[in-house]
Amino acid sequence: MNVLRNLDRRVIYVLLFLLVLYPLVKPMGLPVSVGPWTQGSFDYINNLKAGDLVVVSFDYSSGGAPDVDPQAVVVVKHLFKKGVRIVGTAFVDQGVLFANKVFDAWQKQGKKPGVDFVNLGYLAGGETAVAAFGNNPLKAFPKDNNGNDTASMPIMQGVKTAADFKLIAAFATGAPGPSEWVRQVVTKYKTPYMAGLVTVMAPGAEPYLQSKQMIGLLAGLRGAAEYETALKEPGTAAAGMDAQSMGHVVIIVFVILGNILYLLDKPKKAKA
Amino acid sequence: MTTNWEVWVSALLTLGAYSILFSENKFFQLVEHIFVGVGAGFAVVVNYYSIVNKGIKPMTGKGEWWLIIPLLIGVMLFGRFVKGMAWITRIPISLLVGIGVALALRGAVQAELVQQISANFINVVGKTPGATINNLVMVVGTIGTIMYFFFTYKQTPIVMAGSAVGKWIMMVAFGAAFGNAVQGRISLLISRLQYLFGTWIHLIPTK
Amino acid sequence: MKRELPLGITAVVGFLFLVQYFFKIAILKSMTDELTDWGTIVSAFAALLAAAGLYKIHLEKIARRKGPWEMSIVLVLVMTAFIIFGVFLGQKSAPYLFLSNQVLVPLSAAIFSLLIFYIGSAAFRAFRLRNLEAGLLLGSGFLVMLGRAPIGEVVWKKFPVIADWLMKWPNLAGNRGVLIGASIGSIAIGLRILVGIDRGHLGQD
Repeated sequence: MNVLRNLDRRVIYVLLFLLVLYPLVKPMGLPVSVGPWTQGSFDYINNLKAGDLVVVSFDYSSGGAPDVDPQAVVVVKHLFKKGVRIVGTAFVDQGVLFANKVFDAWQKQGKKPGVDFVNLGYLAGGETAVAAFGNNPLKAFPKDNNGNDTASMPIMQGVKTAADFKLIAAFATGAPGPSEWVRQVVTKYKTPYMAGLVTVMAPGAEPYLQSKQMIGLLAGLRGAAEYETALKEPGTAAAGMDAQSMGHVVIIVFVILGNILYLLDKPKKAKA
Repeated sequence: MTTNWEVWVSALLTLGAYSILFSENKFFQLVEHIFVGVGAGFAVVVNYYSIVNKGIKPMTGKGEWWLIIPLLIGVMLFGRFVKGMAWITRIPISLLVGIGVALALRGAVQAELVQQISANFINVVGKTPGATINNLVMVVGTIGTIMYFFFTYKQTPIVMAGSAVGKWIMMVAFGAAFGNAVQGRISLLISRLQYLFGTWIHLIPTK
Repeated sequence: MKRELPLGITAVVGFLFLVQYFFKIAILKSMTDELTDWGTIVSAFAALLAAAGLYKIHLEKIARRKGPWEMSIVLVLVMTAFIIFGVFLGQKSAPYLFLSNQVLVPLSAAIFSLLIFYIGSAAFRAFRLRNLEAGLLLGSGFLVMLGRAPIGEVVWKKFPVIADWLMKWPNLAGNRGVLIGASIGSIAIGLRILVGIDRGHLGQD
């Protein structure tokens, strides 16, 4: 027991590192079921029609991207497979990096910029920028990310306000997140809104889901894995789920071990 | 193991970041400064293009001359670097604060206050006993949580009981947040492990 | 003048937005829409200001040979190179893409992932079942972790159901209470700023 009591923190780090790595090298193939949050988003997108226009907002930074980027990738895949047209935005500066990657890949597969999608790039200002976009998307983004005029693009014809979109799917690691989108766009223009969030933000979004201000939510890598499962196309997120399980077990075991030591030491401390 | 030098750079930087777990060292310091440098450099570039696409091009190309005003107001932010002109920075700040506060304020009233409160005004008795319990948890829990923050209100037994319920509900919510925080951070580690042991040294089979 | 003008701008702009919200007047709507657009332009300058501040700090460190000043040289060089590549060679140029995708993105993920190691260490050393509140926090945390990882489902089919219930009801109640409280607070503070009672954003004279 004394070994455990005086355990060096670095031993814990190494244990955690190795135990999370193990299932990545030797996958266990644990099943991933689709939760109600993800199902809501999937069903809504699945019922969209070819030609519908939606916004995909890449409001995430590199620090949380591994948790959120797989969500954006799989949702864009689903949208394009349905023939839905996408207006891509970024209200967090680094989001534009991920938007570029996603749209460049689809352009190589034949999707036409300005027709099937437009990558509007980044607009500074956080909540103010979200409001500006909601009020008048063309005025907020007079140019796309490559400096082309947006007003003349076929995809932007007939777009006056955010009410002209069938859905806003915004992926976020912080602000602007659900609060900002709901405050500035959803309440005003009644556009259906779903979010993809870093896991830690997910509990805070629950009030908006229950009040129907949001139609769906993808929570972290697990949310992406669930979406991949619903779409029947397992990808990078599903591959990480075994390791996710192991990570959770390790943390739980650490807490239990720590508490066993605490309970064993309690009477001694009380005597002293 | 890959021979792509770019992957090597990413992998070594990742190892540099993880080296802090063992002890404070020069390698980590180097990586930390590179991190801050690239982050700030990136922000400058994208915001520069944001100004060009949003302000300068429409002003020069489309004749929207009035955009000179926000551009000049933006430049005023740099007044703090000029002796005796620091106060001028307050003008753009006051504009940003005015817009931001007003937008958030009017949004909060409808989207958060009105709609969140009205979402709680439901018939507590549901179709099944389970639904009734859920509704009770939601209604009593929300009111209790709000009561917990009644710091200036007289602490009557009812307020104290309400705030105790609020405290328990918040603890459960914080627990859920903790569970979710663990989950999210493990995802980040997984992505780095997939990179180090997949893309870099090919120990993990990549698709 | 140095304080009154900024206070006046905040008040006028703020009340324009509030009046426009309650009275649908077309001219006011186009004014507030234009101002919102201006806000995005000025915000972009604010990001440049932050970078200028960073330059100032690190150039001073280098000049005074203060602290790990050699590292400051690295920071300034990397930052300057990134800006030059991005602005002069363009956002599609190879060196810019290399610094973005092979340095910035992986490094951010690595630095942010460090936290899981600290959580692991804290899990072993600090999360103690000292009282009822701590028990509720730990219990709910455990159940959510088990319910949201595939292994929980394999061990017991009900774990995801319990985790979903915890998220959907008690977590909802706690977060809604906090959200309502915070929105009341932000409305109050917002009004105080607009009428000039709170003026912290203007700094010291």
